[in-house]
Amino acid sequence: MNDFQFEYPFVLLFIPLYFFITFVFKHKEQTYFIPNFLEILPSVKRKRDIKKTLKYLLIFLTLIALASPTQRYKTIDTNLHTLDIILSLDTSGSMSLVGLNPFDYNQTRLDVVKNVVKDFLQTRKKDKIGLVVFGDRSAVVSPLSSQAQALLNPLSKINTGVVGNSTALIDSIVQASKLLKHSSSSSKLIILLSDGDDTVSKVPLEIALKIAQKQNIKIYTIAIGESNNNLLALLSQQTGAKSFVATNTKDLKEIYSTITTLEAITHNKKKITHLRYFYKYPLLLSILILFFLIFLQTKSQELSIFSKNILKKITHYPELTKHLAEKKLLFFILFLFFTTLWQPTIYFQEDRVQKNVVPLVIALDISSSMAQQEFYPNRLNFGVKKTEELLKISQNLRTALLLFSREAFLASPLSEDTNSLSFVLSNLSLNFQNGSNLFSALEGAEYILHGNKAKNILLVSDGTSSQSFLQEAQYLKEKGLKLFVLNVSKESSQNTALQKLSLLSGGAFVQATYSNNDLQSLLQDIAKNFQERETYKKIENKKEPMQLFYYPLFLAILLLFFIFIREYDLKKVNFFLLFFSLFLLKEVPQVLNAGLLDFHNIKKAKESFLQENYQKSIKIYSSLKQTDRIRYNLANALYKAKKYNKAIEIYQSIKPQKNKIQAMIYYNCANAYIYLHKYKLAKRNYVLSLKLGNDTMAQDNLNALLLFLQKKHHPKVFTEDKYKLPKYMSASSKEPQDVISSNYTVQLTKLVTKEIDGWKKVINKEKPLIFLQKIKTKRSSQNADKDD
Amino acid sequence: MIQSLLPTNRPLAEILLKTQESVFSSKIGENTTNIEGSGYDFVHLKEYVHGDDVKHIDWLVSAKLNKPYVRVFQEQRELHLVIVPLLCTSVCFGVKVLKQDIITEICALLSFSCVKQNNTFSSYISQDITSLCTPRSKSIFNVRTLVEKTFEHKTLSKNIDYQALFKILYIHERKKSLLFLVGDFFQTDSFDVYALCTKHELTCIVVRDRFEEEPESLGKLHLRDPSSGDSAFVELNAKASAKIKQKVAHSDSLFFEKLTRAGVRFIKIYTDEDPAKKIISLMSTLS
Repeated sequence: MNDFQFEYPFVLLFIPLYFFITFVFKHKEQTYFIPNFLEILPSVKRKRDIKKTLKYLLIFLTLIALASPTQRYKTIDTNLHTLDIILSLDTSGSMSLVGLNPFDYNQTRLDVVKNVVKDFLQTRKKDKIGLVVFGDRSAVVSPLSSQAQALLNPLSKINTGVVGNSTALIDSIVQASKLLKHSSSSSKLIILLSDGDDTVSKVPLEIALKIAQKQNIKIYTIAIGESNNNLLALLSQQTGAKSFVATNTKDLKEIYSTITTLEAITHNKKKITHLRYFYKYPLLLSILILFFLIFLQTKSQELSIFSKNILKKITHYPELTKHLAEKKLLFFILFLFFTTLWQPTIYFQEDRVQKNVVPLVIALDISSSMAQQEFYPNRLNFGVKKTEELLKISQNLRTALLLFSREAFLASPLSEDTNSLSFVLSNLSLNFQNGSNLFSALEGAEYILHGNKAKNILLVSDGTSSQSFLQEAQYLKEKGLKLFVLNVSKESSQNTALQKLSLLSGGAFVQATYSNNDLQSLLQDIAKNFQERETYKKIENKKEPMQLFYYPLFLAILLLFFIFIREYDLKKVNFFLLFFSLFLLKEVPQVLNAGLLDFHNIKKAKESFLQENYQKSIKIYSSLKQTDRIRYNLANALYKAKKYNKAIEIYQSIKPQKNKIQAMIYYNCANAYIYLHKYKLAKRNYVLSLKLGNDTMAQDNLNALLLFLQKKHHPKVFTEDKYKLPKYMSASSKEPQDVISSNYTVQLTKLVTKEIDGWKKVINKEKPLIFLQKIKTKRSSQNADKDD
Repeated sequence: MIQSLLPTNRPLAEILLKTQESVFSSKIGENTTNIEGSGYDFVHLKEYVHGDDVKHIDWLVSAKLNKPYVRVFQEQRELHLVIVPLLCTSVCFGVKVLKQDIITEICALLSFSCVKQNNTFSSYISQDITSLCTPRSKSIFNVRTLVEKTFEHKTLSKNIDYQALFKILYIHERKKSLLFLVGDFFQTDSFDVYALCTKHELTCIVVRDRFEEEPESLGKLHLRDPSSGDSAFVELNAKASAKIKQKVAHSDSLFFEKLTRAGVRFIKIYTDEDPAKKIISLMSTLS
């Protein structure tokens, strides 16, 4: 295997550093001042300094050990990453057109989409998926739920014109963003499917985009048919996603799979690689060397016949005579080396337990008896509040919301996203209906919970008038349902039968109070019940042991450096060698200096741009590292040099952060298109520019262009003066570093924040539509029609 | 004095304490000199020569022997000491104790005993330039000045100019006095002391370290000569040790011969010895 590599190759840089220091600085050579001996004794050859070579070797080997040579022998992909996806479907009138499926002309667009989405839901089992539809307004069908199956039922009930025939595309983005607000996933997606342009949205595009961008939401857009997909393209481009066009069923299927693979590519890089560590081998060698060094050090202690104070006086470098301290340090380093050899590791026994989630259907009674003001403000609202509290407290519930009176309505399928659930709950428009049919709740719950092991229903009700629930008890037993009741009436006499029923089914009956105790006991009951029955598997995810050997080794290296460098006089630089080495450094890696000259080049390019020497400017800009700003300036220069095609190409490759700059790019693009006589494209770009920022110049040009297109003759506005220089070009070319003058931006941002704040208030105030799915009930309880 | 010195210069204070103890505990002052003069202590009789004091003629002996004899007396008690530490470069060496410290100790010893016996002393510090350290006095303050200066004197790359030293001593010290030269006396080629000995009584105290005369074998060492600044690798082994021993013995023998011929008292003190005892033993014997 050729997977041999250093974990931290930059550590190896310290080797030349050490060599450099030893090379450049003067070595402190210890000499002893002993009088009269030199005259008598002959001088002998300098003894070979083994120590020096040993020290080099020691540093070299230890640094190699610290750089941690490894070999990869196994890689395991971990698919821990999950997506939070909100599917936003267009249900406007145009979706009822046929022809998307070439094999079956009876299928409308929506039918095809629904089929594809169904397939999609079945493939994404790990991800949390929510569903929003839009027509005149946008409606929440389901908040984020990890059980994709739960979405299938409401999906099948969606028809064209469910929320009106027009297209509130942008509103739906805002709605989806609201649902994603509390998402903790690192990739939040909105997959927006539409066949038309936005027609009735209240929220401006800019605001919606800002909200999405702020939450890091990627909006993938799918346009159906040859509609005007500019808006969709813009949306996806601005949020860093992609937009697609689907003209038939096959396209659509492929698009859905590409979206998920795209996300998978960008995020599923988490790979656990098993490494073999080889640091022990150089470390063993360095331990041997260190032993030898210590041995040599002890041998040189012969000079100990001199007392300490005198040794200080008769040596040239008294600081080097502290043998003892140095020896202690060397022993400490040896100790550190041995600790490293021992291979300290930490095992993070991080068991990723799949949450023991309890499926629970909360059935809210909306019969007219709930309007009684026994609890504040009335039974129903009190019940709703209680439910909200319950959702807040609960930790491992997967909850669905059901409204029932004579019939049952599904407000939200099973979902763990308690935030979204309470969002749905608080935005329900509750109309009282006559009659309370217990069977409707039970059957609805069964409908939702079908296939789940545990089936729990929480009835938030004031009870019914019927006194015996034989049929119901039988039904409960048959389906394995457990009935929990949160009683929101104070007439306990009415509900003895209900209490019996709940106890019979293995559930609990709790009287609602103003405090939270009732909810606590309820949750406890549910959890207890659950533990008795269910044994969910814990999924343990054993993590690769974390190596800790770097730390003692790093400390050892530091100490070694400290000890060894003490032998060099850092004040006395060998200047000749310094210059020589610097010269070498400058000669060999030219790359190191490349970054330094960029500044100068930018200046040069700017100057030649101002001197209208565009060719030179282009040349310099294209030689530099291609950042957004450089590319923008390059495109400007190209524009000036009348190479419009290339300029447009580069303009479109820029993805700036600020809308203002994007608007400028569109504007410049549009101008370039006019020179190329592509008026339609120019018009579109002007429009896009205007959408991002109001600008008189662009407006003027657009008006002139429209006039021109109408009259089909060359208007006066198209004189060279007007289009010679796009508006922002001069500003940008003056300051290639910053495109907008600072003064202007400050004002602009202030204004924008004010606007967005206002919009946020409006958005928050607005109650979203909640899609209620009617569940058909076959049976009915006794006295169901009678209202109590 | 010591109290004020102790916190600032502890090693020096220790030296002073040590010397004071030895000065006050032993009768260091019973020293003898060769100087004859108008004292009271009778030394011997000698035949009258022209110019002798007539007053000193011992008439009784003269009558007995029919020749005029005069009594000779020792010089009176009040002596003048001149202490000269020779602080050349090689003084800053030693194995356990620096030679310079021993020299300081000896200087302190001499000057203290001088003050104690109510004698005057003056001192010079000799290097390549000889300078007056303390003028003639009896005060204990001068003891401290001398000791401090000797202790803290920088010794690097200084060689002693004996000619200049002797000249200065000859001119400066007009009265006949006891001269003490304290040093290691390695380079003694220019040591010519006859003229000085006619005027003063001279004592040489040779301070040496045993390592210098017979070094232990330490293997290869990078040595630097403190006086010349030359450096070289030198191997210290048994052979080298013998060579050094021989060389030092040779030069010492030449030096001591010079001294005995000039009638100079001398003593060798090693750094591992107690200088007080040695000096007392020196002072109590006549040369």
